[in-house]
Amino acid sequence: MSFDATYARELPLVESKASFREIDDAIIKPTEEKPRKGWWVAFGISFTALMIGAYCLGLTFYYGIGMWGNNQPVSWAFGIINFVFWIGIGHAGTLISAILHLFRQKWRTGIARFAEAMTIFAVMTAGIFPVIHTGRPWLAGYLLPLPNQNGVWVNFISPLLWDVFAVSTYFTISFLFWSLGLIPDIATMRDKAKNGVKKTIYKVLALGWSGSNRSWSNYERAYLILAGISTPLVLSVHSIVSFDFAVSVIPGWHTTIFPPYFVAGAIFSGFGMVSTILIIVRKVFGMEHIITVNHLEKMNKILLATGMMVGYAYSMEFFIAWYSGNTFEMFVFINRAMGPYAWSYWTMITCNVILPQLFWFKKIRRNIPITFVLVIFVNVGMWFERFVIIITSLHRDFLPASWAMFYPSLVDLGLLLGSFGFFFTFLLLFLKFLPLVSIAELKAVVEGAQPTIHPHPNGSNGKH
Amino acid sequence: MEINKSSDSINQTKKMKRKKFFLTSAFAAAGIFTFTKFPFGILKAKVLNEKKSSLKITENPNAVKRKSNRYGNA
Amino acid sequence: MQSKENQTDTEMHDKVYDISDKIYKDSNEVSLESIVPEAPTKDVNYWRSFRELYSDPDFIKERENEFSKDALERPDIEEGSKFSRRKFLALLSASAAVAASGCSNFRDRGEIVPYNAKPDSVTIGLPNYYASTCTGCSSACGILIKTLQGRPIKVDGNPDHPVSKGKICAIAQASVMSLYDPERLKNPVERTDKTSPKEISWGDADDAIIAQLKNAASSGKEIAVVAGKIISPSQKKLLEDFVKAFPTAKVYSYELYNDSAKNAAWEKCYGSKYYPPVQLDKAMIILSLEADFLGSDGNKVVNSRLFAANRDTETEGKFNRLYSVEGNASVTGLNADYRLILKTDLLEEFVLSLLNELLLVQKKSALAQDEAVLSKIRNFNLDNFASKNNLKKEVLDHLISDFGQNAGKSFVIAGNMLPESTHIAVNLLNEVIGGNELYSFKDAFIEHQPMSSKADIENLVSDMNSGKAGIVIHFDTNPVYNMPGDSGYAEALKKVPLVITMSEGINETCESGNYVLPVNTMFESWGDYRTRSDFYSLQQPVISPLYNTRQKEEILLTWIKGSKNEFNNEIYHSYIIDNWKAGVFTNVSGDKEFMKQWYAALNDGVVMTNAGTAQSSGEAEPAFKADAFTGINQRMTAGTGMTVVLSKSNTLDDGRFANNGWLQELPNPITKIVWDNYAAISPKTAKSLNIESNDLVKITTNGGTLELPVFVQPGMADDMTVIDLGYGRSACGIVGKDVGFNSVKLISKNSSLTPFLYSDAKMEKSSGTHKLVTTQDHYAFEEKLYKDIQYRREIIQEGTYLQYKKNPDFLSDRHTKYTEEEKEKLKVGSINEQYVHTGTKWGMVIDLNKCTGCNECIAACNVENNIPVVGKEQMGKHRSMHWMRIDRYYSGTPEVPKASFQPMLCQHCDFAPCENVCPVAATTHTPDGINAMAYNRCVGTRYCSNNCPYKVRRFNYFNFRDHFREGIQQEESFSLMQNPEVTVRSRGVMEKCTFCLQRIMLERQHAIEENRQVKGSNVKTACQEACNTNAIYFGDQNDETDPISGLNKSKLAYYVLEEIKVKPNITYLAKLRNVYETEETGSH
Repeated sequence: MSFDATYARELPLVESKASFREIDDAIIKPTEEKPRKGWWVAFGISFTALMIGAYCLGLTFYYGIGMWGNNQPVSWAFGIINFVFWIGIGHAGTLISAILHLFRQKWRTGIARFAEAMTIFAVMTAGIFPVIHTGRPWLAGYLLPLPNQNGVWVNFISPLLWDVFAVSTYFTISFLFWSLGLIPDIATMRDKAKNGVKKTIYKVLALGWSGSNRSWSNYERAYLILAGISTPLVLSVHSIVSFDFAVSVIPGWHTTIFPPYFVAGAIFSGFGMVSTILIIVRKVFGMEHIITVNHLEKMNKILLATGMMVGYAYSMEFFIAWYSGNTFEMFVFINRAMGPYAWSYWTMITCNVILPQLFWFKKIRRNIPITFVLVIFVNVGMWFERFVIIITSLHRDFLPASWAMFYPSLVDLGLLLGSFGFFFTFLLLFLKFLPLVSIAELKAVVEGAQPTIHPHPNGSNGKH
Repeated sequence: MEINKSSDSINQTKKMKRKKFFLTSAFAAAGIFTFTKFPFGILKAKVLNEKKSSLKITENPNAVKRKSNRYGNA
Repeated sequence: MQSKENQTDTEMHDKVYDISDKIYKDSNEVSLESIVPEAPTKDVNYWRSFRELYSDPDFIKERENEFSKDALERPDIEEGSKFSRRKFLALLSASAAVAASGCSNFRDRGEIVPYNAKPDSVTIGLPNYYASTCTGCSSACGILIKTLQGRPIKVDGNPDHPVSKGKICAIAQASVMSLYDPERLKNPVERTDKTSPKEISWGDADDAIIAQLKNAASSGKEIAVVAGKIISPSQKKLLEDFVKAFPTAKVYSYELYNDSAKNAAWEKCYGSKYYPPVQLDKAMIILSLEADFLGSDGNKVVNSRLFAANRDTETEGKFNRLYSVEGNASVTGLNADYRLILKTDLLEEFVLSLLNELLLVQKKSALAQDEAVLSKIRNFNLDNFASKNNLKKEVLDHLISDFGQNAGKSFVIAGNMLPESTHIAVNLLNEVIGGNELYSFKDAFIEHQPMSSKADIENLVSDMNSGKAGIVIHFDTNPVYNMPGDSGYAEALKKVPLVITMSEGINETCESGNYVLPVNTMFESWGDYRTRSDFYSLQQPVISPLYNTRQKEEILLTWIKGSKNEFNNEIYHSYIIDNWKAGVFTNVSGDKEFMKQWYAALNDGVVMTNAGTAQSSGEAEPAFKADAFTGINQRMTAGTGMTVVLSKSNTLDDGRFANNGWLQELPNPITKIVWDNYAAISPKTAKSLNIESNDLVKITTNGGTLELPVFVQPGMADDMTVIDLGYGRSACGIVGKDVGFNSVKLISKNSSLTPFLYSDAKMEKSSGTHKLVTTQDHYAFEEKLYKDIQYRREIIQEGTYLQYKKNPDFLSDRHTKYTEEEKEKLKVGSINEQYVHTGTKWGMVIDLNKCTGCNECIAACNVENNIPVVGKEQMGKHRSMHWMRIDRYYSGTPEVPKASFQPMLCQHCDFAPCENVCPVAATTHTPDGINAMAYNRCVGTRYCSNNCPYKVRRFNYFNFRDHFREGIQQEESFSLMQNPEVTVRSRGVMEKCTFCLQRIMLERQHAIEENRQVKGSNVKTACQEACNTNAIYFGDQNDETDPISGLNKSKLAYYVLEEIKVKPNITYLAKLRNVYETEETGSH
């Protein structure tokens, strides 16, 4: 550009000078073509994983929770670990799409739609577990405040009930937010679509979007409102999930640091999962110029920040245990670090606190392969964090006579695999049938799309 | 523009609408009727009928019961 | 008009596109002016659309009005998709209506008919109680059988019975399951040539057998009747009649546990046949030499009661001291105040050293002058014996001084497995310390028929081998399993032409018999029992036989009477009545009078007699014959190899209860192992053989060899192992088959010491492991992190008796003292107002001084509350369903541990952490202080179990009744066993101790009927009722008159985990160890 930048010029959000038509084609192309072999392989793997999970779920429903590894002191294990893990992953999507929208962080456009989709699928995966881990899932209706034959209200001071409300609210709002954003894009696809079936489906889904100014103004306002509503969700849902533990009496759970600690952990694992999948997707679908390295670098920075927060929480827990002088608390944390499950504790520490420190170096932040590896570690680390919190606090608590070890059963592992299968199956379907990036928003941030102060060719600043 | 055609076509469409209305309501009535008659009984899980207990419980006439000691055996 | 408008739109649309493409493609070279036709009238920077930019005339006109022409118009419906919103909503509601009408009410259980044709004897809901006698073992305790709707569902001790006095052991509690065991033999079975079993009728069996009996008697072939210990006068008379009817009959009585060594020694010392009962409640000092009298040695019900009588912390001079010198870590040993670890085969030397100390050094009793006795003990010395076997010197000094100060009030008990010579030495020792004053000769045991000696059994086997024995009748005994390994009984049995076995369930002896005749259980049988001289105990059937079975005495009686149609249901009943007319109620004239007394006897269950033995009639008690002691030449000396002790399993007895799931699942009081027996060895021995728990070892004694897993047990003597008998049943029901290892194989018929003690056995490591399952995980209690963790966490709070005497507030002194106003300042108010329990508030006190950790309470709780059996695999996964557990904590070192027992059950906390976390409010607090569980409301999130600091909640991970052994507990007969007043919980539901809510409701019902307040002491929980030492008190804490409110204020009272402020309602009374140190060394 010929004009001198009087302010730090923002990095172009879309590297190439794509025109609107090019953007349309680039994003809608994957939905129109036959899925390539890579997609089928990925879909095959995740679908088998889903079927394995479904089989294990069938066994659990038929025989009972006994098929899992839960026992008497440790009566929560993989079921709740997976629930907290998946609901945590969902939070990054909402943060990216809602909070960054409110902060007008333009760089979010490339990844917002995808992250939001990931949220919904993560919350759906998480939503399964509270139901299937109960002893009598066919009575899960009792968890809702509906009139029933016992004439009994639900217990409003139980954190599990708050979970029910929090997770369902979170799902509905994320879903609304996501599908609202999709409407203009589906309308574009509807206009481009050729054959009948696809066109009618897109027509239905586009809810008669005519792109008229009125609908755009309503759309913008609705989008803003929903972004506003879902912002507190990012912080509240995982705090309520952390209340499942913080409200209890068990040493290692009963600490006030849990809500912020869990929210930081959620965002940490959420961004971990987002960047894991985005690195693959941008390579496979050739979206490097839309989901640029800058995006990944920004996400790595957030990973570093939240990783440090989580690290702070671990050390603070240790300090408070010592500082409180409460023998049970002290024992729990010594037992975590040196007891029979010490291996899981140190896995967590290395993956969550030590490895993300590499993101201090710009070179590593911008290096895709290393980021991919580190981000996988983040996911593993966050799963183990929930493992450590739940299992080590339960397996050795107050009375030494009720101490016992927990060993996962095959059905446990099958369900864990199934949850990943469930998540990726939906994700792949989304990638196939819906635009990966929000076309409308992208057009708004493409180079030159917004009226910018073009300098007058003869040097005056466009003034006459 | 074929303006005049439209009058009977409009009537046509209206008539069409009325015809369609009667058709659908007839079908609906038939549907509901068959539905209520559908024998849902076969679907209902067979009530667990206690199989006739092969074990007969009879007391021994010569055994002597303690006077019904109301407070357990305190 | 409309369509033209559209065309222009699309044209404009494309034009806009082209313009935008041009702008993008080459935006840097092309300046704006070159593409815009003429200078816009407006500022080039502010334009709303391209059309305004190049001032299209239509656009200018349109812009007059604020919104563009069709912006405000409602979008044309037809234009939209055919699938309109209204149609969508209509479809939605229609499908919802269809779906709703499809469901049916699954609670509809079909037709319910009122119970109006009711037999008079049965009132629904009100239990009937029958007094009877338990014949689970040969102690014949008196029991009260509770029946509901005619079904016996609970067994408890008969308070009027002199032996049981209201208490009963775990075997009797769980015997209900043996009655309803679906695998009981149901029909007589004929096995032609001992192989192919075929069901036949009783008539055919009787005919065939009577014929063969007659011709065996006539042809001089011996008819061997192998019975157990005869403790019933009528049974003895029956056998005599049998011998009269068939002259060649010969009766053998054989029991695996018959403490023959102890009785033989007694006979040598005092002349009478049986060792008399001992008044332990008068003993202040008790020394147990390898005698687990609180566990598996003798009648634990009586011993526990007598022992606990002198464990009263409040009354002066009623607190005894228990010494224990043993190799095995037994219940008695770990409850002892002073415990010395000594290999069992060194015990005789120890007793002689003690005698040396008492007679030669301290010249205690008259016997000190008897030179013959002194010569025997001169070359023993207590001090160097102690130093050689590193026994603590000061403990022995305390023992000697205690014997001195408590002459006439101290007693030494020797274990049944010790040889005769040791028992004689111990009898002498009791003479020296005045222990003989505690023998109660007046109600001595009496003998109906002497047990068969070793010689009798040997020539029985030789008769069978030689063909002299034509017929062998097993009178409800299982000798193929119980006889010593090398007795050759099983092989000999094959040669006998006719083998008849009477048994309740399948056992090894049935497998090799011609006829298998099913017998009634003790709930379906008549009987009169007399173990001691001062009473008769009656047994009456509370239910007619469930299956086509007969009582074993009825079978013999039919054979005696000679023909099959002699049999009727009353045959043995009238037989007993005739005996009693002749033998017991002799001073009664006339039938009516007799029947009145007979019914009174059946009502009480026991008839006290004062006929008694010679002693009761004022004769002098038999004196100790010193030459018995001096006559011994062959003493028990320390063996070289491994010492093996075979001990009675206090749940499976001699293996006859192997098919009882409740008993198999009752944890061993010390090792907490379920569903298996094992060889317990000390940590040092394990290291020397480099084996660890679960490794398989091969043990050989001169009786045989056996391969079984090892369990490293702290507190065991080195080079010694203890194995429970009664396991490893090869022919048994599905529950007990092949559970554990048959250690009877190790018993040799001519063992040098006794059948249960082998001092030169061999143990070597063999390959492979066998997983042993414990209900309580083991942790290395000697490591710094876990050392005395139970004291540091104040779960177990202990002191010494002297410490308590000196300063009764020693317990509260351990915590910082706050003045009143400090307490006021510290009082942390709560944001929500507290519920104050004003009316009844149920509470429980457990006196840890009296609790010996013997598991009776768990057995009773299982029966009362329909607890399912979960099986070894699920117990291994820590999913035991017992509502109570006895926690055992070790302190000290693995070599010399100290143990503390603590029954742990739901504490029914006031601020119950399980109640506020349950999302469906399935567990709530009742106004009278009980944490109640609404089973049908429970969804099974299990958060309540996580949040319980005591981890006392149990979860139905499976429908265990269906999961264990292919659903044996789903069999129809098991449903008869369930207590109808307690819900049978389904899969996926949480359950826990409910303070026996059904018994509280019964009391509440009576209170309403009698228009009075609920009285706390009327309610007895199942565990309280079963506890042999009355360590559990239950009642209303708010009622001052209730004993429990007094105990709550006792100085020894404390709550477990009090500082978590969940306010538990179970108070524990701190255990006082009666040791000389005033400061409890272990606690801090």
